[in-house]
Amino acid sequence: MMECPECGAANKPDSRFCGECGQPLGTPKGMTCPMCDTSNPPGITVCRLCGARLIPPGVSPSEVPLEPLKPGEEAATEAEGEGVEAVGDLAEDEIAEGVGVAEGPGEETPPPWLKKLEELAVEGGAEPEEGEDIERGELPEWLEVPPDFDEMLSEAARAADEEGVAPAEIPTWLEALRPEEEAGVEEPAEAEASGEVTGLLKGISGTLGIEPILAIPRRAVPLEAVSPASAAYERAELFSAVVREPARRGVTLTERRRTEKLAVSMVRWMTYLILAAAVVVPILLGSTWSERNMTVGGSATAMYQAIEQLPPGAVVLVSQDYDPGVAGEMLPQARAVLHHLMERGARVINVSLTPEGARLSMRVLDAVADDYGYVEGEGYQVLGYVVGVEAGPRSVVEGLLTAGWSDLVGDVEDIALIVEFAGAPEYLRLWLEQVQGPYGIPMVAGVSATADPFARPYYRNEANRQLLGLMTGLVGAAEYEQLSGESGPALASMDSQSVAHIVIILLILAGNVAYFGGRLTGRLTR
Amino acid sequence: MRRLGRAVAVGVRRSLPMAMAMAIGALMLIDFFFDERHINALGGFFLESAVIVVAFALLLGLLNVLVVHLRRIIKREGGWFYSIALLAMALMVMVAGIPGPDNSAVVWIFDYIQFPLQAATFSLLAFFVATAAYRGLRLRSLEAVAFVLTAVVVLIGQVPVGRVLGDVVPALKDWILNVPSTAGVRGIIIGVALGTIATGVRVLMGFDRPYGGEGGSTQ
Amino acid sequence: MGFLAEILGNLGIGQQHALMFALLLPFFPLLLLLNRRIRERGNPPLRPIPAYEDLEAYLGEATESGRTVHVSMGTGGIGTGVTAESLAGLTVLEHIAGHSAATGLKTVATVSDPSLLPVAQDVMREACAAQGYPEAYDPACVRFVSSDKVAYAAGVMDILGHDKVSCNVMIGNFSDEFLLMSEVGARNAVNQVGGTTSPQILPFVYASTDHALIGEEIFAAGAYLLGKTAHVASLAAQDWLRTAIILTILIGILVRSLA
Repeated sequence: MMECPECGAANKPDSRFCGECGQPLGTPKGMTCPMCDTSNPPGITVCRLCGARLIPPGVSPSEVPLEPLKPGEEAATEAEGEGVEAVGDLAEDEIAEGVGVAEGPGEETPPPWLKKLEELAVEGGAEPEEGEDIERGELPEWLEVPPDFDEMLSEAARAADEEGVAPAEIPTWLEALRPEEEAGVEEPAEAEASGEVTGLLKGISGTLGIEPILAIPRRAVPLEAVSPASAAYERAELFSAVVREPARRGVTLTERRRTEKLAVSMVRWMTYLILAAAVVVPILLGSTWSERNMTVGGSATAMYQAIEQLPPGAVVLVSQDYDPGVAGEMLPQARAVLHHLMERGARVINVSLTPEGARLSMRVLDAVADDYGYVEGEGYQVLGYVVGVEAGPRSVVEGLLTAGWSDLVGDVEDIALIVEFAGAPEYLRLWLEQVQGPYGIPMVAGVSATADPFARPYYRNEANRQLLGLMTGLVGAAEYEQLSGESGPALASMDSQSVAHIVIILLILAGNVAYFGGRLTGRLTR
Repeated sequence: MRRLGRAVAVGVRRSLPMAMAMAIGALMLIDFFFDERHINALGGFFLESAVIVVAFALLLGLLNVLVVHLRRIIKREGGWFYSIALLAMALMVMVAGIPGPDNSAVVWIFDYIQFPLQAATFSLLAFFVATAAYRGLRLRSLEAVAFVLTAVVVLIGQVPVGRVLGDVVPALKDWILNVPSTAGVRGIIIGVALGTIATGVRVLMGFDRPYGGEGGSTQ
Repeated sequence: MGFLAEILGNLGIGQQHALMFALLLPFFPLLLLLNRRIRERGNPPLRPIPAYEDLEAYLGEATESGRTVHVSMGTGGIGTGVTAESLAGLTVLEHIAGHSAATGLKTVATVSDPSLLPVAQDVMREACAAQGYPEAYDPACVRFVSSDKVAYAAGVMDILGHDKVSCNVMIGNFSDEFLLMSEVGARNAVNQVGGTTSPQILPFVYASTDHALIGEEIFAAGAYLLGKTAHVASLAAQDWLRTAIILTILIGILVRSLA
């Protein structure tokens, strides 16, 4: 499993691109340079193209994990040398000689680097590596050695001695460093003072002594005098003048924005008023121009004919599938068709795939039934809302055929026609797919205006005409009313609709005039 | 032992949802295509379970509404008074519906509050279409010109007024609705169907996480 | 041909189902092959979709101005017939959630179908956790407004009108209430990106949003925004099958015309 360097997702070992983010991956067969994206063969530490480091310092380029170093072993590698360069100016050869921290048992002489440090300590002033060019300035008071420092030291030593450290706690390698009494190693007399007298490192020589002077501060070097150009003085004066000015409120800016906003919302409200007037005024005037000049389209005529050809007493399944949003279009359609159906003496079974459709259609159904003297249960039957939109039509038909939901229907042939009122294309599609297709029952539909492009192919398909007639929107309802000779709410609304359409066209025009006019004036004023 | 348990837990957390999704998805697909009794029964069971799960999700939704609006009320954020009104009305409808969804109080609320509100909000659409027409149908590009011309032709052709200018406009409108519009709709529907299938197949084959699991497969 | 129909009939597959099967089956091997190929050769060039490009700019603008971005995943949910569109909206939410977890951009996601609520919350939580700030996740950043579409639109209209929204992303399944929401956004000069698969809503999207994603472009969000190999592979598979369908249509036209 390889991890993507960009997003961290796990990938199969032989992928070259990450599955989550699409970025290229590096493979074990070589390394992709993070800087310049070139792939490098394995085993090299810097990129061939741009020289960026491919491997972090302190790591050997080989894929074999490092083994712990044995004492005295030469572990001389370039990386090692580079890594510890910053530590100190101690000679490289000394490092190469013995890197191991542990000394083998039995060795009594301290390693060379320890010796060197000891010498440095002995010299009594911890000269920093870059030592020569630093002057010793005067020490501040708090750095000076207090006169009773030695006493303090020996007191601390005594206290530590009394505490006593259990010998078992001292690791063996540390024990081994302890000088043996009988060996009689001679240590330089000055070193005695610097040997440890207390604690874990007791008896070990060559350690760093306690130095009162831990650091010698560098004396400050005075800065050179700066002489700026005269232009800089002017700019500085200007800047200070600007800063000292009191803050000005952006009054004019906010005022302009407020008027702009006011203008925009005025335009919006005018648009609303114009549209409202376009709808309301023709109704108030009682205009009947559309009623007189209404022409009827082919699909609505076909629907009318399909219902007109029904024998009296035919059973018609009516499905009202819409919500209150499109009720404005669908209710006049339902009203017009129900009038026609009941005039022909058909028996209506009313069902709905939406709960609101069931409620809304009840009002229309009851009102029309009263007009024609239909009695519920005989002339028409209400099955109400059928649950389960996706399988609704199928369950309706199966319920009618097998479960005996209605006495009017016993067999498929009993259903003479299906009239579907679809507020959205999905309801129409469900009825077509689940009922009209499999059972082949004749079907007509009334749809809302936005669903028309979807429904129209079913009507126009002459090879397999699934819809025998189609009624679209409020206009379709008006056409139907015109055909029936029955003036209803749809026809009465046609004038409003015409004026509203014209108003919208004018608004499009006005919008474009405003847009291009604005661009023109912008160009002129520039 | 603990490490083993942890590895198993991580593996289960990552792969179990995806494995379940793949298995059940495959089962539903087989159920759709083949007519075997046992598979159909199992498929029907899963469909019903899905409905039940979604119904419980509704409870989660109500809890979310409560949390959001209570927080707004407590912190006195903007519009907190309306949050009180919302919660009060929700409580009222819930209490009214306790005897059952068909009792007179709930029916009254639906008939005289909800339906008029829905119808009125939807009627706003007409006004919004007007402002959208004013602001949005600017002739910015060639497509916008085609769009506006088509809109104008259909607007005029749909209403009786359009017949006044002769039969040209209604005939043009019919042609537009029958040919380019239907063709475009069919093309979009085919493309959408392919996209839908692709989405489902991705989950079926384990390429996409079914939301709830962690990470996806990286085959 | 009759032999084949007989076998399928015995298996219980009707003719319509057989056609569906024929369309579905090529997807599986295509997806596998293309996935492997893309892993080896990298992403194929994708045609630029301005909506996705400008979405990045809008998100940046929202981050800098300190305002919120509103994400709507449509009025459908998971388990309905429009699951794929809702998943497309969720993919966009995933991208925006990653961006907002990394930059501190405040995101408000609204859902209409309650089945989307826990999933959207999970997406937001995972994004915060991936950035290493699981405690930054706020469960109230996903709001369930209402199951009813019109009430949902009213809720979103309120958010867009009052909540200092700088960017509005509405990708998923919508019906007519889309215009209600997008008009309020346009009125308040909100940067809007919209996309839906219903052809009758597309005019609304075109007229009132800055950028419209038409039909299946919403399914390309995973490839364009997230760059996932699986999504790019499925786009390529869709292209192959679309070419096959076009050829079938052309051949069918020729056969019908000449016969």
